[in-house]
Amino acid sequence: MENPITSPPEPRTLALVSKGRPRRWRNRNNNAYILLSPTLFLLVGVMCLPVGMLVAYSFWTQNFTQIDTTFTLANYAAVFEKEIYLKILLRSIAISLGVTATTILLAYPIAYFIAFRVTRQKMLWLILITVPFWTSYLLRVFAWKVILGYNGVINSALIWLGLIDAPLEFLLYNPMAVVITLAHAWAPVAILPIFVSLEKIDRSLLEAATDLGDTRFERFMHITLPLTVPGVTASFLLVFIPTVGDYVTPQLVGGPDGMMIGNLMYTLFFRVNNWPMGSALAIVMIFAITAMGAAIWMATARARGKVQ
Amino acid sequence: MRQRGIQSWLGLYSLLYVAFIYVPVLFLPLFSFNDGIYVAFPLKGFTTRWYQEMANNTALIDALKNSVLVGCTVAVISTALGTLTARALTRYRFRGRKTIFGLIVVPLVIPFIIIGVALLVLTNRLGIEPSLWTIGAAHLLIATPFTTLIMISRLEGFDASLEEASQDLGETGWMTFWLVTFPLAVPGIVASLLLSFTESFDEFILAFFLSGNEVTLPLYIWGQLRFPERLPMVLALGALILAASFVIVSFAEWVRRRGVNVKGK
Amino acid sequence: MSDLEIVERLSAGRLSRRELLSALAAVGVGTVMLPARRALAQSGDEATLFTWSGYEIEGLHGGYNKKHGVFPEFTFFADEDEAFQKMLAGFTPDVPHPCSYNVGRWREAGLLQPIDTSRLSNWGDVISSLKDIDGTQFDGQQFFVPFDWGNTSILYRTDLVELEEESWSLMWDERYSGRLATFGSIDETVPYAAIYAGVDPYNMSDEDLKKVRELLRKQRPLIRFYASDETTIEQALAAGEIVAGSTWNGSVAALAAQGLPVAFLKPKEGIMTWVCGLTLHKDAPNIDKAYDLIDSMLSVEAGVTMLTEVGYGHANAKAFEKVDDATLEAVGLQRDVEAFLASGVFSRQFKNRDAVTAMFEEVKAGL
Repeated sequence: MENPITSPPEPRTLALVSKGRPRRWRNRNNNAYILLSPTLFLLVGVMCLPVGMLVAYSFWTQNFTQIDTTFTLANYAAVFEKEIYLKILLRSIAISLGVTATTILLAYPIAYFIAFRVTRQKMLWLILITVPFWTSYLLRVFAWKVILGYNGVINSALIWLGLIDAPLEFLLYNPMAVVITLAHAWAPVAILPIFVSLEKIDRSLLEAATDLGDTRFERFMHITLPLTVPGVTASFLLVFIPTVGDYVTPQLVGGPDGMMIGNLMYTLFFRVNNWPMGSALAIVMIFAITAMGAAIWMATARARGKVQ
Repeated sequence: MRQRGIQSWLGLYSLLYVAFIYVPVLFLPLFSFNDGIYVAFPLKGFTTRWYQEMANNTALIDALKNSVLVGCTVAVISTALGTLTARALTRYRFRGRKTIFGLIVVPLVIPFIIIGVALLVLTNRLGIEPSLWTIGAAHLLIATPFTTLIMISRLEGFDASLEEASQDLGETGWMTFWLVTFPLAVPGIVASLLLSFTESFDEFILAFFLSGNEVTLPLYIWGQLRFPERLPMVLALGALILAASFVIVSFAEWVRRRGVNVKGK
Repeated sequence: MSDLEIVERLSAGRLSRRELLSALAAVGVGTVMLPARRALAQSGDEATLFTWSGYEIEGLHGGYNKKHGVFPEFTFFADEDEAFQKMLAGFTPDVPHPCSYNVGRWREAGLLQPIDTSRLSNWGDVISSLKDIDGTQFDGQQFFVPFDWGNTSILYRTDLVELEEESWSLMWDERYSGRLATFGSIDETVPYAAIYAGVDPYNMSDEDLKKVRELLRKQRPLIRFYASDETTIEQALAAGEIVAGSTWNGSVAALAAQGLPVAFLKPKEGIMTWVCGLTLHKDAPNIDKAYDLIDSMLSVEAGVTMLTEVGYGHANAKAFEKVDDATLEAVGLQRDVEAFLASGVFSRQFKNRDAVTAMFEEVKAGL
């Protein structure tokens, strides 16, 4: 059975052919397009056209409220020449990598625990971990603002216990606060793919390794870890891609140094009033993220190939 | 002996991890009953007035209604689209199958802020006014890949000979669908409905960029985060959403278990 | 769980690179360009006031409530740039509430319509010097009804700050590094930096702009956060998290009411003054109710609420007769509006607004 996302599912129409009904086959092909047409309509209208318009805007200029549609590369030039854009983009990628690494490192042990140590209530554990993800994201970020704040939970608790005299100021309004908040928000997402790939490991492989004399650590390094590369890769992409463009968390807890590319794009569209510039930045961001995703994909391709 | 040692460390770690995930979230209900405006220790006493305030706040109720409206619409349409698409992809071979599949999954790899900005640019250019409709369209775009994947996994294992048999016995294509295919797909449909509803209900950034006069619940919450007096009421809302999520997820799990027993394999 | 099954697929490895790239190529479909149309108005039932938070107090809208039995609707913005963009994108409130320096800009963008002052019963009581402020009248028509006025200055904790002199230099005082806050919008922060640098904020040459940029850069490491609303600054001051922050007279009233030792700075280089007011959106869906709303906000009762509860000046001369000197002084206001406005640097529109915005955003980003 092929892996379902690397290629689309195999249709089960062979039975029909072997029973000698070719005419039905041709009609059915058209059926496929008919079935797909609403979704394609959605994708073209709500994704392709808008992104196409974004690309178009990136080559234009804005004068107050009017758009000058003469073709120009000035916006792209600005993205690479003016320090601010690349600086914030790189900072966003760095913060995202930090968040992704943290979530994966924290998630792996518990995924391992549920896959190998829990025998009966696996589903319960997974549900337990996922439910917080269904509360309002905004409120979860705000919860951290409240926890890390000057008058917040940590500070007031430490003062109440007499451990410090004055509140700690370094907890909030910096990139570290952003990393902590995002790592907490995306933790459940990182667990599931890792758990699934751990679950799929053939236990007999592990037994064989033990029989052949591997220590637990060697077994982990030689068998378990490599076999979970697809899961880790999936977790990586699932966490990295959304967090690069996050707006809420940097806005609420990031402070001046925690500003990320999402905030900058908001500024370009809603304050500086330069939509073409914002569009160019968005396109560059798409390329950057795709490039990173593709790089990770290819870097792990060999390891994943071994799994299959 | 060493095995036990590691096992208990791992268990301890896992408990701490679950605590780490829950504690910030549990502050919501905790301080929603606190008789004080500021979210700080020590606690001041028990009260339910924030819940009452919440029930009386018309702006909040309106935003809640809007979110439910958009969420349900998105859930139904995206599930329908996902089912149709999944059926097309699992039952037929046709040209461009791989490309179309790739296209369907693309919304999953684009950060939402880019989708928001792109839609903003397009609706502005076309003179379309931002509204719940524009938000709904955006939510539909991000929900449909999920529902498609869920329905693919549901329909893929499905034995085509069942449908064959039904048609041999004289049922038309449509009746076959309703009597044979559909019941087996129901758990997937339920999961799709729930997942897409939740995605839309909690979604902020797309709504932020594409909203007009009417706001959804996340937008309302965003507007309230600045005012200390309103904050406990918002925490009460968050606590209720948390409780509702427990109920919904448990229900979904129950449905899934029933589906596993009834599978047509 | 079905979620798990999806995840199973995802964990097995995602799209093949080929598929992803061909899908992205499919995204580059040809674009259809249509000329932008003016957005159609959406109707709500009551008049909508588009304003900063804090103006939804019932005491300000008693007149409207009496006439219609309900209060008007409110939509809030954090700063006027956000409001501007939202309206450009098609949001149509009835009564936007900008400050005088934005009236020209908003009108140029086609967002406003002239106000027929004969429909306002309280217009006669409006302080005359406020009626024809720079930039609010075009072609002899009134586009702006003054509503509130006041100062922008520094509010500081008298118990935590040792003031050397009454000067804007407090916002550059290294002793309080990490314990200062200022607004993130250019209309609030850039002018006082320019005033401190000794240049006219609203007519800056490139040289001037560079000077101001340097000053703002120097200030940045001392700033704990750039605020988008005064409540955040008020709360931080109340907690002691910051010792000084830029804000308006209303904050003085708010914190003094809590019994906190605060004072509003009167900088020797010049305090900032502003007048804000009500406008009528070009496509206002509820015009008659909009006039009622404006009229009700101009009433004496609203004026008294503004002066006593909210802490800003009001446009209705008669409201001042009902308030004593002590109340006014407590928030830094006075009876003679003309003198008041002349005593500080009046907020106007920047000559090169886009350049100023770009400069400040870069400074905030750390450049």
